[in-house]
Amino acid sequence: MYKFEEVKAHCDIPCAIYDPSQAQYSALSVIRFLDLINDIKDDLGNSENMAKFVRLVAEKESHAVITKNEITTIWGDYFKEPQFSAYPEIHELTHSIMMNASKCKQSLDKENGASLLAGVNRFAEIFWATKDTETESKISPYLPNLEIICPVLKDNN
Amino acid sequence: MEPNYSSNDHVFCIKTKKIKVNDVVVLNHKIHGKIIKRVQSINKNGLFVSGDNKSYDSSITNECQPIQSLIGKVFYKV
Repeated sequence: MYKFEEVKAHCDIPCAIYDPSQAQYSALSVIRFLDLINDIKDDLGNSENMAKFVRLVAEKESHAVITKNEITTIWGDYFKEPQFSAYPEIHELTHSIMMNASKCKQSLDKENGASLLAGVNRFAEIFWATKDTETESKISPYLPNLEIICPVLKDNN
Repeated sequence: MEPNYSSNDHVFCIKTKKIKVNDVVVLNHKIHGKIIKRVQSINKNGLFVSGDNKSYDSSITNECQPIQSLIGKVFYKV
């Protein structure tokens, strides 16, 4: 009689969950803050608007940093050699997202926000592709009502 | 390795160096012992492998497995 040897599939526990959606929501927030700041920047003669302006700038800064942190965490911790080989653009894309997030912090130009979101959406598309998950383009149900790339989730059968 | 391989499955391997991408192989890992994985890429230094279950990550996917660690290529599952 032949004896079978045991082999294992191996998995690291605890398993980290990675998801670029937080980066996407933060990028959308940055664009929203740019819009709100641009709406009141020429009317800072009263203390009410000045206080609102200061808060909006602080939140814009904060969400740009969140976007950076979420992207660099996924790029640094999740992506490994096989994914880098399959998607070599990911390095330059990650760097461009960092640059655009910094531009959003430094200026009020909404074009920087649009570039930031486009980069983050492409990052999300690549991320889900590495998990063999299809993606689709949707419009965010809240302002600034812009495109976000979402994973196509399976039905709960 | 789910859904393609599950716990208590039996696999038959053939000892060969003719390995290509997408082959399922059994390796003798220096820390984890005998493991079963799918070949993702091959270079002059060895193999990069990964599991079929994309819901779970394995640190093994980040390592180049030397060709000497290869026990065999799976050709049949029961």
